[in-house]
Amino acid sequence: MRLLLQSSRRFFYRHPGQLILALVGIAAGVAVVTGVALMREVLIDALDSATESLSGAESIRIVDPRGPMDETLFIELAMTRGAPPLLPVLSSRLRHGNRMLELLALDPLSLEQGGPVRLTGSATGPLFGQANAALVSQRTLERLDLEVGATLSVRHFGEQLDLEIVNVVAGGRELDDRIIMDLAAAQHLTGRQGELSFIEAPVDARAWLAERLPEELRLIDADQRRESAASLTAGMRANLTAMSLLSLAVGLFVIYSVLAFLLVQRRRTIGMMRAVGVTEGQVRGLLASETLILAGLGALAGLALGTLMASGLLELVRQPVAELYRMVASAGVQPTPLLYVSVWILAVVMALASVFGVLREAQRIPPGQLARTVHEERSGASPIWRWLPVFLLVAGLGLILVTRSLPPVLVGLFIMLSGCALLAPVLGMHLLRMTAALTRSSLVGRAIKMLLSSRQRLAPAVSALSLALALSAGVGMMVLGFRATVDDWVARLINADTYLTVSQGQLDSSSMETLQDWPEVEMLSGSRQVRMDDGSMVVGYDLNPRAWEGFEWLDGDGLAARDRVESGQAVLVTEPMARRDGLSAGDTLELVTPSGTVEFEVAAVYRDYSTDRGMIAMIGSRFRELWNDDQRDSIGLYLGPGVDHEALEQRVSETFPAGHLTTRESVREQTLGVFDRTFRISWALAILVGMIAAIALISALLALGLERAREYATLRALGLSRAGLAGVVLTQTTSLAAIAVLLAVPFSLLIHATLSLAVQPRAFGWSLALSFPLQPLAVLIPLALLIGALAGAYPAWKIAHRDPAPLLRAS
Amino acid sequence: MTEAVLNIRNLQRRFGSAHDVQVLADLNLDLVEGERVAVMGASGSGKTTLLHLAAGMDTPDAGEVLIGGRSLSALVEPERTRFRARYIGLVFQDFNLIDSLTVRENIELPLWLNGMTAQSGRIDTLAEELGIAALLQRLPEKLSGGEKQRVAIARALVHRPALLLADEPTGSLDQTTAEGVLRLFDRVTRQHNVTLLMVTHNDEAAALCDRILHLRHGRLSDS
Repeated sequence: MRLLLQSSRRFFYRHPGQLILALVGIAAGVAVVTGVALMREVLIDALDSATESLSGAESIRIVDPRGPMDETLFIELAMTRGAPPLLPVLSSRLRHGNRMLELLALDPLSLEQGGPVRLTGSATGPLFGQANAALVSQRTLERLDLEVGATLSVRHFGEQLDLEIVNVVAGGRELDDRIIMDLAAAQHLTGRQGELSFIEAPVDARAWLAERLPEELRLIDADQRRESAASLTAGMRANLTAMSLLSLAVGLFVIYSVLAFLLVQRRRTIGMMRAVGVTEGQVRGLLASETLILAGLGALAGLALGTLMASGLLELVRQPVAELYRMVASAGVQPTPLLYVSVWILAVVMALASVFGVLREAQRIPPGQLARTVHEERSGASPIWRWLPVFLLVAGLGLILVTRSLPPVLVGLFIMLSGCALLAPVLGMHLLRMTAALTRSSLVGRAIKMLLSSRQRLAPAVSALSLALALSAGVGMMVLGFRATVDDWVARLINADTYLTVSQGQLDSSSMETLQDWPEVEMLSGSRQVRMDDGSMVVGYDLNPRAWEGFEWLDGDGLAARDRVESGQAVLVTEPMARRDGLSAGDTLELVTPSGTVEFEVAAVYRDYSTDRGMIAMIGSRFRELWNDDQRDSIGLYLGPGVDHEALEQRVSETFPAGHLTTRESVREQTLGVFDRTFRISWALAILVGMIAAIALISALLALGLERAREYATLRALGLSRAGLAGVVLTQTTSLAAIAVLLAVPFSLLIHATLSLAVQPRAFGWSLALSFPLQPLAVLIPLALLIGALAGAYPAWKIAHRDPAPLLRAS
Repeated sequence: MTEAVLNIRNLQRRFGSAHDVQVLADLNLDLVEGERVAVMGASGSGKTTLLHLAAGMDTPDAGEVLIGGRSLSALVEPERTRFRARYIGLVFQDFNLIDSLTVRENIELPLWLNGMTAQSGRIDTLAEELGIAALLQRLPEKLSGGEKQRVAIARALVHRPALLLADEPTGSLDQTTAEGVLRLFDRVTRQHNVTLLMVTHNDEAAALCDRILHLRHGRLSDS
């Protein structure tokens, strides 16, 4: 074994390019998996744990499902005899440039009374000093590129607030992008006087609180909060995991390619070793050891690279998470030894599994085999193996079609992609054979014929490239198709001319009455949302006839539904809600409201992409009655013809000093902006997968060049010029890229259809109209051909400039 | 008067990192049209180097190689390659057939490289003469060593080269097969009036030639 290992060490020493490509391939795949795994952890555990970090111990939280709670409740509870230490908190979203921050306003007096949240006296002291004093963690200070004493300008509902960073608070990544302020100061600054977001209490106060809390309030412990945060991002995490595993699979193609080539190079050596008594097991052991060393080292590099990459990837998802789920995630990842060990073992085991075929091939090298053949054996594959790709494709599709939950669909997708990966080289070689037949006597024909005899060696590269291209194009088509659907939905639903919101104070029925009297306003609509414990929303709508036209009905009769909803007897549910709870028109649902549990008929199901947690819509009057809540989050203004918008804005600012008007176009732009930011991570991962596939292709081509060195030398000896030989090699590489592209087209359509029609509905609950935007293919096809040509450029140059004479000397 | 096909003048070639191993030293050789010369010598004496220099696949440190009166040293690399494709045929010890091309396609290669595919009828003629007509559609991997060498001979002659260079053409064959291949080689080269420079260890192969030269200490001698 020592001698065999010595020979492989020397091989890699002589071919550093092969070694580097193998290490880079596996490292890149593992890096993506590591990065995504670290990011996943943030999206589960570190979404909602800032106050927990401050308390240093688990606490329970008192929340009002209707929204912010009245501060008097805290005062009443705190004044009750035997009251546990309580901490009132006001939480609000702030924007600093493009960065989303969370304001956590605490009551320093409660802190000093030994409440559940502990800030040191030296840290909280300065909070009393001035109205705009704020604390941040050291990490946040560095992320904001500020120093203690600096002013931090943020926007709160469009209004600028200038905060002064007075001190640094001790804390981990849970405090990333959190601004800690004095409660009273924050309430004043943000115009939310008398409001609290929640109250923190010690865990052992649960029984005391349960006895005294008003019925409409909820007690939520840390586990429930974590579970809720995790379920919010479940669809997003599933999507990321699928992409990361695919990138690892593409990285494994590189390992396979290198090890398969290594075997070809040492066929003679292994044959001789077998002749002198090396056993099959030792040969297998050698290759397994090489795989272990390569994959192990590559995976280690991948872990390091992935940790570096994770922060970048995290930045891509933090903003969408904040926008979609109203949660500010930690800005940093926290690697754990368990995660590293798990990913490392996964990578090594998968690498060993991927070279199983190579090990079998090595085992079959007969003792004493001296011929250093470059052609491959014609394997008489059994019908089972021959039909395996088709079987996998059909089985994957079948699983996707018959199951209704996400995990089996993802399994089905992987089985289907495995089928595509196995089918790609088979179909690709057929296509090449046809091309060779058509271009028989030309340089192209001869180059392709030479390529055909290396089909087993090239199969992984063809699979990797076609799959990566298909994935990139498929994801791209899904995203663009989805975007067009959302754009269409927004244009339909958002049909008021402008929307009024306020950053301070509130909009209510009297605001609606005031606006209704304005001559510029023809009609109004209003909405008020509350979040339920499970993350779903209940919305109370004040709808006019035009606003009703904005609904797209997916189930139920729209006209009849409108009558029943307006009567207050029925509700509408969004598609994600209907899917998740198995609801359809005519069903009944029970809704827990502050006025008790109420049963409603589901009048209809409508299309909605605003939240994947689902939404129940009812008429505003019924909502106000049940929730005892007269507020409106926004009021839609339907204007008459020829309204002067500047004059209207002026009038709005006079009547509602903290009011803002947002036009329909702005709402559309903002919605699509959120959409684009949400899918940036998908684009980034698709690009990473494409880059790893390019490494796989270059690796295979370099291996091919080394393997066929003698044939190329013969052609040079027979009189093929350097340019001609470079042309042969470039034709071969470009042909490979071309067939990968050709195969990627149907595969990408399949992936697009699966993602749009199966994964999206099951992950997020919404269906998409299937369209086929071809822009991704229009970009990727020339790009892939260019990559093919560029990937072949170096091998072509190297092969063409190699001196043929030494290669032609008899072995 | 017979024309000179190959003239080698004061050829020198050194190898080694310090360029200190002299393989060929002031070597001279002339071959006229139709002449067949065998060069014998010990392993490492420089026989293959001589052949590679004659084919323009290697460049000498000094001296020159003239084929048909044209100096290879005066040609730049692409011209040398084109010259070799047109005027030289090569037979290797290890056959060096392209495994991914059929026998016919292998033989056709020099015609394609010289833009002479119109003369592909010559493939069948040569295949008949060399007894490989039935093998034309096969891939080299399906052939025996003797068959492979016959295909290599056909490939070397198909474009009617001015000079045939053969490097141990029977070196990879067993004795019986080697004898058969040599008989064919002898017949076909005579039939086509080929000018041949062959390097070999094999006395029987050398005996087919008009002249036998020995390469020792970088120089050729008659005995």
